Amino acid sequence: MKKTIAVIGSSNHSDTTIVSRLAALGYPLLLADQKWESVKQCILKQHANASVEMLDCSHECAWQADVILLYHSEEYLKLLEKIKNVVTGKIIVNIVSDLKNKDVQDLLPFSKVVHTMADFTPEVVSYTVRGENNQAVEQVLLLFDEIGFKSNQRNN
Amino acid sequence: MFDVLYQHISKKVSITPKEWEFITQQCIPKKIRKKQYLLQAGDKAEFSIFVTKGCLRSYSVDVAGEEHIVQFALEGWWIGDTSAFLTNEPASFNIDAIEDTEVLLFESQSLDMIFDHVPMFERYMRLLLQGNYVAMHKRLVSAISTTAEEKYLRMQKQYPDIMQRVPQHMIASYLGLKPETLSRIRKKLASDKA
Repeated sequence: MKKTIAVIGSSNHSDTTIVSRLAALGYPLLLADQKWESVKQCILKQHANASVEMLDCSHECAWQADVILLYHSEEYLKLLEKIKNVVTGKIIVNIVSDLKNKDVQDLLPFSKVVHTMADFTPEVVSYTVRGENNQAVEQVLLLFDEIGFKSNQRNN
Repeated sequence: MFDVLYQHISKKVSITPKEWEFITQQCIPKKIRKKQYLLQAGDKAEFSIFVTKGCLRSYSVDVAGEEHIVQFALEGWWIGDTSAFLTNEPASFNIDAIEDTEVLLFESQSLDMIFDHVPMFERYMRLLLQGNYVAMHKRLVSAISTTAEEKYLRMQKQYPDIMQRVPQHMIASYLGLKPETLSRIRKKLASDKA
């Protein structure tokens, strides 16, 4: 059974690659921001059977999801506060541009935060991954491998 | 979200606030919608599931595609494919939601950690398993030695909430009856009453 993935945070052009590829492989996606509407329409045009839904509430998305893709926006600290009580034990894929950023794990101490760093465009050939929970890191590597991204750097 | 579990545990054993806090840090809150799966036959049974709101069912599907319901779980009930969960073998059952449902999921590793940190939780689980064994035994006896009408009446008496919230064809499946047989029994009981 495919895990349900919540997509939380901001959207820009490069973000759509991960989301589109997950949808193409049949992962049910829950999008938590109206900014993702165009991405949703684009996915549904390409993959009519994709399960993509806009919930407009990050707390609800995170609650229903098994895995949370966290894109950083200016308000991400507020977002983390909102989802905190429904993400215990869940994998949070923290998509960042700077791996020094550690506050997500500090703010969500009972979640399995995995930091991934890259500009995930179709052209990207590798990315860096880091996390305290080895099992969660392995699962994220498998997921990203499945959608065509290979990691060549792993920092624990 | 956690209150239902706390009340359920407190009815059987006593735990400290610190132990309770530890338990809440080990369980995964999840909300699922009506008809959505939590487990599908053939998958790894990763979780033991506690229902805090809503209703789930576990069932197998035979070669003819017919569903056989093994268990319903309302608020305050545990459900899962216990055999697959304990042996790490692929699940034999499907678990899906009959209503929009909220659950707390426990991984095997998390349960082990709770057993280590909260000794009374192990006692709580033992009491649950004992209760479960007794219920299963009674169900087995009922399945092999009572009439369809007796099975229905027993269920009505024992699980009135389930009878109210679950569609009749699922009740029939749980009792091992054809829907038309259940319908006939219900009609007969209604006319007997009148």
